[in-house]
Amino acid sequence: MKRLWLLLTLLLGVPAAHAHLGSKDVFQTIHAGPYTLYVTVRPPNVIPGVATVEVRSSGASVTALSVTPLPVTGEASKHPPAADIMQPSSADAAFYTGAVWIMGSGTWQVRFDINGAAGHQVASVPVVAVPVSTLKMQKGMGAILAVLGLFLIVSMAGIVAASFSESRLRPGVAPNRLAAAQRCRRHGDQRRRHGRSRCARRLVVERRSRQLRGEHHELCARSHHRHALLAMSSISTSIESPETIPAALAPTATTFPITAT
Amino acid sequence: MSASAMPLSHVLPRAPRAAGVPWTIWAGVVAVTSSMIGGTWDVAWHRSIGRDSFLTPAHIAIYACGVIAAVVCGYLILATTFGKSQQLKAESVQVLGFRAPLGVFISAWGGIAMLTSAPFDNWWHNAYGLDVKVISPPHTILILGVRAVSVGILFLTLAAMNRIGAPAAGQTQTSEDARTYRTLKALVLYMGGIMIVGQMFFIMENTWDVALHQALAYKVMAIALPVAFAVISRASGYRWACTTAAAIYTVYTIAEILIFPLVPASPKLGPVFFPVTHLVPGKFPVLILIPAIALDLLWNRLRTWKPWQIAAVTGVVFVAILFAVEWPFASFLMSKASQNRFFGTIYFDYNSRPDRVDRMRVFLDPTSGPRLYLGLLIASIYGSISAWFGLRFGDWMRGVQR
Repeated sequence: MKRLWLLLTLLLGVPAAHAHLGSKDVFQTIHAGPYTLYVTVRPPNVIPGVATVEVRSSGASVTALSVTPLPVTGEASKHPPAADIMQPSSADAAFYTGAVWIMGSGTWQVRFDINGAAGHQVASVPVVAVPVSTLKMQKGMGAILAVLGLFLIVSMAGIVAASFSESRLRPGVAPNRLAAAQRCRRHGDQRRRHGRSRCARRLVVERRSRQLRGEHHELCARSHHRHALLAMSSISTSIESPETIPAALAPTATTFPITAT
Repeated sequence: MSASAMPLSHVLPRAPRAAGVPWTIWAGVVAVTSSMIGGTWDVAWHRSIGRDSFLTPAHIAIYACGVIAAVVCGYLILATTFGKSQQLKAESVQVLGFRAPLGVFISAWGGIAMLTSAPFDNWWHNAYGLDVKVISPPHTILILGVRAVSVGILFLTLAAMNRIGAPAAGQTQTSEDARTYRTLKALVLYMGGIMIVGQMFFIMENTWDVALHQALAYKVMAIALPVAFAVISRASGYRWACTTAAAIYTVYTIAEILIFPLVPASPKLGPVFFPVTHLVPGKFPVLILIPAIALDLLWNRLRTWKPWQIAAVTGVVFVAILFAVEWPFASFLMSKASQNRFFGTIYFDYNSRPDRVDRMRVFLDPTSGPRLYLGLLIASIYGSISAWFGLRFGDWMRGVQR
């Protein structure tokens, strides 16, 4: 019993320990001819992704080191992609860093082309590539995207509203949607015939013409097109800029006298 | 200020006369062209080199679209909202307190969407890995943004064309007006062609040559194309608008096949299953030129019909003709006779496996029998709905003045 208590006391007294379990990183020493390379490959957490490669050379002097990834077996193992030159450290000329893109899960090899005083050598390190995590979105990034997304929705709503209220009006004609809507209700048949926006546009101009001429009792009795023509012919003699009212009254995009296509 | 409270000269100013095509429209057209070339180039880059960075030539061409559009939109919004030009104000709409032509706001929206896609895409790469598909959520937003810039420039051009095309009474057309009108109409048609290129780009993964014996390919094209053709035809008012737009797509895609293989390139990613020594071009264009000609002829004859009636006929005609020409042509593309520089069936991605249908030149899960007929019937219905939207929207666009 004493021994059991002693054992429990010792176990409780031991401080917490840290261990490195399940590491995906690869640490390997390569002997390629006279060259010795201490290689570290850190595969990406997500696939496809970029693996970082660190090499410390020893033995014969290395002058250039390039790296390329390719599968260990199969057709693709015969066609290595273009190699990347590893960059030597400014502090330690024997320490090189580089990166390789791992485009799929599986067993890969990271191939080194070594050039130095003792000639050219090729060596490889096997690397297992598997996705090990999915990144959660950071709060800051999420907030930025949420704001931009909200702005896109609001601004699109504004664009749609402007499309229906102003975009088809003649240049310079101010929209007066309330008056146009009231007028349209009294002219349900015209609205159905010509469509809402065209009716609204025409009615704004009608009201303006009535104010100028002081006569509006005939307007309701006449057909839409005939009324427009009458208004054009009569207004042109009674206002300051006779050509402006017809400009607004003229139907849009229905005729074009320059080219017949 | 309401219309009734405004002085007449502010409410109804004299319609401004055309003075040539504004530089903003030319710049916009250059921007849209740049994005089209950049997008095509980027796909070829990924198919031949694989790895890219922020500053590849293809990316620069795409970003140039955003930069040019930002300059054009920024200038027009600031000049219209805060400037003194009555003409600019008269030709503008108001959005969120700012004033500018409608197309400018649509383009600006597209630019912001492109901007939004950048951090989203970066996060996506970190979370799910590097790009292996064209249509990922951030890429969809980017493509949507580029397309919005394109549509915005189309609206900007169309409004200028419509203002000259429906002249004010009392004004006479000058030869300068006529010349400007023709130029603007040509630009509208050109951007219609770019729109078709964009539509085919977006559905590229479903219209690959090995997928052209699937009913899905025809359904997808029936959704994407009639709406675009109808918009271009109605908005431009040109009797051969669909033919022109489809011809631009066809010539552009064939030019890609002829030019890209001249540019040296080698894969920088593995696994490499097919040694590549040059940029890999896209597939031979789908023969949409034939149904486009048919739609032009059809719509010119049915001018007096109601839109829903025209749309109902359009869906059937479009799918029937597309199927009649593309189905046998796809069989030709699988044959050895097409394996040459012109038809381009000799080019494959660096990561194209030897046992993949593309390398083996066989169709991917071809549809046949009742499933095919049912699929084509559904495609016709999709085509009719698509055409109806296009006809109505195109008619509406024809009246845009600002």
